[in-house]
Amino acid sequence: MTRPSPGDPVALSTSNEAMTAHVSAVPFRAQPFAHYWLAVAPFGALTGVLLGSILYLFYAGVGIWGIDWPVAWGFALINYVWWIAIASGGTFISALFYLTRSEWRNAINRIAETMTLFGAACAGIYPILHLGRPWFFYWLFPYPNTMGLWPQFRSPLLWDFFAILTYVTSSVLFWYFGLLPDLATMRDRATSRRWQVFYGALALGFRGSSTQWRHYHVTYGVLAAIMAPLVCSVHSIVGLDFAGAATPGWHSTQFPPFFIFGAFLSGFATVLLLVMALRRLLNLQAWMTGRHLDVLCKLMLTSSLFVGYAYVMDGFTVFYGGEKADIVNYTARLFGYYAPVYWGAVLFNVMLPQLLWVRALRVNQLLVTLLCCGVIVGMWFERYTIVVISLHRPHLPSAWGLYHGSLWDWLTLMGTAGLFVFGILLAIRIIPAMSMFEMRETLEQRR
Amino acid sequence: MRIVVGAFPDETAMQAALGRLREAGFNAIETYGPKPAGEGHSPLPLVILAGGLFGAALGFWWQTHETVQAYPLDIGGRPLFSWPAYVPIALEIGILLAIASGVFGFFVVNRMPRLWEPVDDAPAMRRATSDRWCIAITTETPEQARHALWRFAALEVDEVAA
Amino acid sequence: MAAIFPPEANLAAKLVLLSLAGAIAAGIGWWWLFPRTDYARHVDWTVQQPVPFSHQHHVGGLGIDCRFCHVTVEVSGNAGLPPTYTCMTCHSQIWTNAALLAPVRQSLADNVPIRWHRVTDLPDYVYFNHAIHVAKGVGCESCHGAVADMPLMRKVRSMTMSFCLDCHRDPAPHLRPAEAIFDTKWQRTPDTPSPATLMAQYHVGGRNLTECSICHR
Repeated sequence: MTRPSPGDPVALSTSNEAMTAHVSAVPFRAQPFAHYWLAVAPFGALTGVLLGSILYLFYAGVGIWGIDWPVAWGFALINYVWWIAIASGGTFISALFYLTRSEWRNAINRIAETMTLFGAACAGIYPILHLGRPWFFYWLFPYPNTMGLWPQFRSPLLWDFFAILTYVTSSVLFWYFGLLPDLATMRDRATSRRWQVFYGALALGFRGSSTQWRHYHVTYGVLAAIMAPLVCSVHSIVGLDFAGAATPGWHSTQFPPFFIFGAFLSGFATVLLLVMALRRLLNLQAWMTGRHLDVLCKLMLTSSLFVGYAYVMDGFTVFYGGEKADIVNYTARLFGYYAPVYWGAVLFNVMLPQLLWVRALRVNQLLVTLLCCGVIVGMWFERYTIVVISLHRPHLPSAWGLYHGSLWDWLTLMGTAGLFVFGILLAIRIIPAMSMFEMRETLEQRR
Repeated sequence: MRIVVGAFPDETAMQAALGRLREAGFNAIETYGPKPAGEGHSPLPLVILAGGLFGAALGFWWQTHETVQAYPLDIGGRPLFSWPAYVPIALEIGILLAIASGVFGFFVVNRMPRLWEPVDDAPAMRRATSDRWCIAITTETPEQARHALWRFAALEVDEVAA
Repeated sequence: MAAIFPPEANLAAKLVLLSLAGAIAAGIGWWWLFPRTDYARHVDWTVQQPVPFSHQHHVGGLGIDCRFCHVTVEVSGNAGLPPTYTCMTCHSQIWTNAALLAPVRQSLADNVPIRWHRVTDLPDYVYFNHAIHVAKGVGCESCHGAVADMPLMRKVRSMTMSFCLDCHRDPAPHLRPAEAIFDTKWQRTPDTPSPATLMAQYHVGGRNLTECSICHR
């Protein structure tokens, strides 16, 4: 393989059959590819850590976390927002760039959507865990109950519940719908009875008839057109969770778009990281070329500029508004105890990605990997800034205080990271890692 | 009745054969291929629109009912029917039902799950989801159909019971 | 024969999906319905007591007033259970050798109260005050049912939060004249003052009775 370059075509000229054979062979392989277990083992272990810390949390309660007054929201909220932002980037790639007919999208939309699923799963764990009595999580849902009560429909927290419910359900349905033709391909290429029945049952009898394709094509387009605004609404509502509270550092009208910018940035970084890893692991370099790296880097750079703009506006609104508590809070962010966290976010999210202006650096995989990891960490710092730094300087000086995550906070965070990678590693052993039927169109256009 | 299946190497060859088969008087024809083909009418966008509108209306009505009738909460004297606050949840429920009706509507319209169809017995069909384009003719006169398919450059022709 | 599935698979797949959906719906239905059953709520469950005390006999038959035994009901949050001395007001004179009453005599002799078992038990996070309800026109019967007809005491109302809220949201139809509070067989008659009049008489309605802290303190 030659080194990827920004001028690479979107796919090397390969035949349909070669592409299909290569992609579909991965799940059928009896022996996993090299290094697979090396990756599965540590992340599987981390998933075990997650299970353990959840069980201990259920046993002991949220007191095992670092939360206390005034920072009553800690890692649970940070991690929730962080994960849901990562998840959103995947839907954005698969839905929005489908509508723009971007030819590079077809090779990576499966990875992006699968990432969305596991990102959303990791995110969805936290709101349940942070409840004092997690087994009553269904009390969030308005159902006719024996207490004669209904939740507060005017609160962004309830909007958030519905947004996440819709987002997770729709992502699963959209992902499955997009898999349908590939599942049919897998069914027809399977040689063992076991795989034939497995994929056959999942494909539900999709066989590529012109009638099926006609309905499929139209439906997929409409669903994509709905998914793209859905992502924006979900993340706006997450922003409103904060903006709706009269807390210094949160009570800002720019939060909904600010959160969407952050979602783009962390989502693109994660997709880019996964694309770089999986194209190497599964030998997909012929279809995920330098062009893909180049495009994703440009997207990351653009969203990094958006985020930088939001950081500037954060400061501007504080001083333009001139409220004392806001100014105290913001000054504490810049120069206070937690200042390194804030400046870390600025460095990783805004400053370092500027390197991507240089064309040659956009395909330097080592550098891009480091930048992506930086962005992912930086986005976590940003959530830490929003949640912890804002809360530790409330209106009343008598209520000021510090916060540190406990061991269990860190273990749960590491655990969800384990679940995320572990889930994706399992998924690529079962489903085709590239959308084969959409790649056939891309290859056709190349010919 | 018999079904005669012919396999073609690409879409152009299949389309060419399809036109000539129609001219030759074969009408009960279905084609199969590994990538989206054929623009045409589908009721599904309307189904999705209906699902979405129904969901949004249901969500809006639901919130109105709970906040105005079932559980009125006086918050600082604000009006009980605070409709702007109902919009986000109505939107989310609308989107949820739109997506669900799109996916499940697709299954209903195609009468899926249909794990078995007579045409599955044709070995040629197994590559129709990878790199072959197939034409399936349902006919009383399989002999003629076979000849026609061979004549129009099919790579492979199978005949199965309908 | 190249097909992967036999023709029967079509029907089987549909049945499997339908029964899956049915099972989920039934599961949710059961989860929703079960807490609403009288069984789960222990409604109409008779609780076994150390002495099979009959309200039907004492209240319905002999006409003893509720307050003869539950003496603090008008002045305290707790209605109060009678000390053994109250039983002995009569039972030191009549049925003095009845086997049924052995635990009562034992209690007196040992100077240890009889341990009755609660029939109507509210959760600890609910604050309920008998005195205010009785003073504001809520009859015993509204929560405890027709006690005068019960040979053995049983719970007759669900005692769920919505049971409480139904009345707190709209108390008027549940109020009765002061003289009828302890009459478990009272029925509204044409002569009864209207619900609105009773509301005014008892000065109910001046504050929001569904305020959370009214019951959860």
